[in-house]
Order: sequence, then C-alpha cells, then structure tokens
Amino acid sequence: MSGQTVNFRDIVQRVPAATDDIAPVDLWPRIAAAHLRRRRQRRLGLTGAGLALAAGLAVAILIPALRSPDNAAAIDWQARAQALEMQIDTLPMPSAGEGSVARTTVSEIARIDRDLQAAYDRGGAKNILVPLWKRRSELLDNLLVERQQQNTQARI
Amino acid sequence: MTLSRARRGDMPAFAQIYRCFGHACFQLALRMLGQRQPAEDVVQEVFLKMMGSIRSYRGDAPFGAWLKRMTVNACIDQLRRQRHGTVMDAEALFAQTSASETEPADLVDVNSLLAQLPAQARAVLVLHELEGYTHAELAVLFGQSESYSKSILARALKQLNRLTAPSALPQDSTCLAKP
Repeated sequence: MSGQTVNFRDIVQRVPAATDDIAPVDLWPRIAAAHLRRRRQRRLGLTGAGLALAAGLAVAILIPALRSPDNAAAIDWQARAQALEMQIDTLPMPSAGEGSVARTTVSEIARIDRDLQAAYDRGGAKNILVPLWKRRSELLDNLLVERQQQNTQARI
Repeated sequence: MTLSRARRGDMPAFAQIYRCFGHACFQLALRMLGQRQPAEDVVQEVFLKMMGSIRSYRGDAPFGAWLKRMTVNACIDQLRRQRHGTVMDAEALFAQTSASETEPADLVDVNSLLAQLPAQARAVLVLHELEGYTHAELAVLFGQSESYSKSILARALKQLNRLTAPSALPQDSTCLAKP
C-alpha cells in the first residue's frame, strides 16, 4: 500500500479497539468540586473587594475630617454661636439695663467680631478663624446666662 | 432545557452535560495527547471553562461541537507547553521517534498505535482523520502552513501503515478485532 492511498480508518481496522479510553469515574466529582471551590473563591473575592471598597470610601471620608478637625470644629462653633445669638435675641432686654458683666461680655463680643472681620478680610486660615468663633460662642453663652439671670431677678 | 438551567449555574444540569459529552471530550483528548493524566486535566479544564462561560454560548454551533472545539484548543495549548514553543519540521519530528523501533506486540489497540507517533503528528492525524478538520483549519490551529500538516499527516499514515502491515503484526485473532 502506498503512503498516498493510506487511510487511517483502514489502519485502525487492523488493531483492536481501545478499551482504556473511558474517563475515570471520579473525574466529574473532581470537576464539580473544583468548580464549587472556584465559585466560593470568586464570591470571597467579590466580598473582599466590596469590603475593601467600603473601607476605602470610609477612609476617604474620614481621613480628611480627622486630618482637619478645625474644619468640622469651625462649622460647629460658628453654628453654635449663631444659634446662641438667635436665642439671646428672643430675650427681652433687662429693664434695669445691662449689668457690668454683660456689658464687658458685649464689648468682648464686639472686639471678637472685629477680629473675625479682619481675619476674613485677610483670607484668614482656619486655625485663626476657629479660635475666634469658639471664643465668640463662649461669650454668647455667658451673655445668655447673664441675661436670663437678670430677667429672672427683675421678675422677682 | 438543560442548557437554560446550566446558564443559571445549576449543578445537576452541568452533571447532565458531562454525562452527554464528557466521554467524547475525554476520548478526543486522550487520542490527541496519548496519555490519560494530561487528558483528564484537559477535560477538567474544558468543563470548568464551559461552566464559567456557558452564558456566552450563543448557540451558533451545536453544543457538543463547541465543547469539542474547546477540547481541541486546550489539547493544542497542552502540546505547545510540552514543546516549550519549539516548532520542528516534519523531518525532525519523525527522526525523533524512528530511533526506537516498536515491537508489533506493543500494538495492543488503537491508542497504543497512536502512541507510536510524535505528539504533534498524533494531534494532526486525529483532527484530520477522525474529527474532519481540513488542512486550512489545521494550519490556523497550529500556526503553520497547510503544507506542514499535509507533510506530517502523510508521514504519520505511512508510519502507522508500516507498523500495522499484515506481515508486521503477529498472526493472532485478537489483533483482527474491529475497533
């Protein structure tokens, strides 16, 4: 028989069929186990990625706040001062006029206001503004207490 | 029905697909690679890949043909890894195996017959003669010219024909059994 006319099907007729070409019975269980393992790993990976993303977001939000507490504090003191001012405005002026403590406080508040205005005019940094707002808030706190006491005494 | 369940990741559906196509894939891998362990590895790789990508199966080709194609690709990757990227011409490929003469008694079945061929020649022969691949398709698969696979196929057939010539085989009735 020449090489050109040889056919593989003719050749295999001359030898017995293979008997060992059956896949092992445990092949499918192995594949299924590997698949479930991969799926579990993928889920863990996704969970991990989700957690990492959440942690990243938390860090991105918290770090700036932690690094510049003045920022948060400035907003707080400013808001607190404004709230106190509104509360003081609702109180009637003492009929006997301001006491000496209250007058000193009002004068101090006026000075703080000037300092604040000057600081804003200079484009003052937060580390300058925040202590001023904090001090203003404390003075307003004192003024509120003072006016409340004066009004109570006047009623008595 | 089974496919739609498999697309949803249903394990019993995958098991059903394995029962239908696992044997054919294993047989093809075993014939192409010549050894059981690499063939098992290939089938495992193919089914894992199929389970991960079944949603992308669009139904353009019959499912069995899609799986077989994946098996062929995995086997060729395996052969490339074994060769470490070295490409030999047909002459050099067969010169490697001609040194060891095979005894006719070693040819117990078709697989032992195929085992007498160099790995790449075995793959070309199985794909062309049993799976119906054309030389043009083989050229693309192996990254070679059409004449390369034609040359390898001719030499492989010639070698097997010589090994199984009636005068070479022992006159034993078991060797005449049909595959």
